[in-house]
Amino acid sequence: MDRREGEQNRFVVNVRRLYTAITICALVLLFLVWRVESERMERVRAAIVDSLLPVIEFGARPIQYSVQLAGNLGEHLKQSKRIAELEQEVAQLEHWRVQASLLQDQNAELRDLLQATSSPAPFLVTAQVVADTSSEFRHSAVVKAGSENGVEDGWLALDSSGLVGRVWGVDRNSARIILLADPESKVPVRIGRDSRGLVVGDGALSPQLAFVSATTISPGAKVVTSGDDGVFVPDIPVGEVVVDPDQIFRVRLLGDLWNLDFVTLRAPDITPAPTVEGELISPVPLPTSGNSQ
Amino acid sequence: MTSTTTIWKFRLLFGLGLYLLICGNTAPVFPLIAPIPRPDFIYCFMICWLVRQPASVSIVAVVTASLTTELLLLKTPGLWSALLLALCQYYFDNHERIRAWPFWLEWAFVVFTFALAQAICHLLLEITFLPAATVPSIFLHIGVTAIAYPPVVLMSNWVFRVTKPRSWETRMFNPIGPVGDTN
Repeated sequence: MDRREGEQNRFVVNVRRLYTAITICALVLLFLVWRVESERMERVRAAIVDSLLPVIEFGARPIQYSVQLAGNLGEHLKQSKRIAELEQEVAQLEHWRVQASLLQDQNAELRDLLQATSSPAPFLVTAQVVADTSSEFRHSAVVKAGSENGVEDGWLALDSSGLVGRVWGVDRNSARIILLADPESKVPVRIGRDSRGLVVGDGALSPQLAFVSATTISPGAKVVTSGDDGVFVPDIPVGEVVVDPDQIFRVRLLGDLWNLDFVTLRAPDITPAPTVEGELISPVPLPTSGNSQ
Repeated sequence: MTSTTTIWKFRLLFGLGLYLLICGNTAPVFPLIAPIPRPDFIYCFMICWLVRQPASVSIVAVVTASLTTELLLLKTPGLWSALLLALCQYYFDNHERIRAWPFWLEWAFVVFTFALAQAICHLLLEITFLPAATVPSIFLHIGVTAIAYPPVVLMSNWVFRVTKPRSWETRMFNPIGPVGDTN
């Protein structure tokens, strides 16, 4: 009887081993297919993440609330001092609000006089960060806005201070943002007045500054997008130049990557192609052999 | 009947634990760019349960959790899941032996297998020209995962009552018995 039971056990273990081996083979095959067909498979990833998001959000909410509650308790103690400071700030800002209103009226009058037309307002979508998907070498986040909100690949992600990344993978209700610190992130920038360079993510909170056109740049110089790649809108604030202990130029980002709750997604300004034939410089026709004789 | 119910109860708890770990890992409450990589809590949780309650760790749960994590964390899916599954099978086959070890030896062995799997994963990513973490960050990742293992064991014990079964309980929790136990 014991021997029969033992044989049965051995059979079950062998079936489990076979099942594991088949699953491992299937997983390796998936890895290889993903490697070969990465572009198509990334769309599959976006769709899966989109469908998983409500389930993940449901489970993450209690954790999020508990951590926030713990943080709020500490914050609560500092509130009275902060309220006094804010009241003072509001009083100062009221003065500036009146000034801004006057300047706005003056600006409108001057525009009327010049008959100037303003460029259309950029298309913006504000979205909440619902999942932090950073790993040991990639830095990304998932936001709750997708193609249904008009978001497309390549859109810029900004917080209240400046650029934080760009959209990389969109599905119906979610989009993934590649943060500036991600190794895949490369942004052409203008440093100071006329120097150009590239902000390259390397996993650090302050990304590197590479391919700088000027021979010398001073720490503290303002860094804004140059728009040289045709994707990033020019003149969006990125940060300022700093030098790390290894004497490598880096950019201290204005965007707060530590606490990213909401981001503004902005459509890139695409210059429309000329539609009127006269705008194109046509090639000069060559003289025919008959005319030359 | 009782043992089957207990196993299914532990299987459900294992699935719930993995779900909470994935949610906790992706909840946007901690800094998005941290100077130290996060520990691999899922690995710690799986191995802790495999050593203590092997019958409750199902292949489906392991594959689902690891694939979900890979998809969410922008990794090329399949490779780490395959390595993790192979490790799980190894631990499943040897849980009797590992269970008899003192905790410090179990801990060292868990860290060693994690480091080995990370090294293989890094090598294969480099061979296939896929983005891989730098060697210092891998060392950091192994270090923080090593630190995370004892708390995970403690939490599993306190929250889910997952402990090393006594000899008379072994049969109940592991109906298929130790490998090679044919007599």
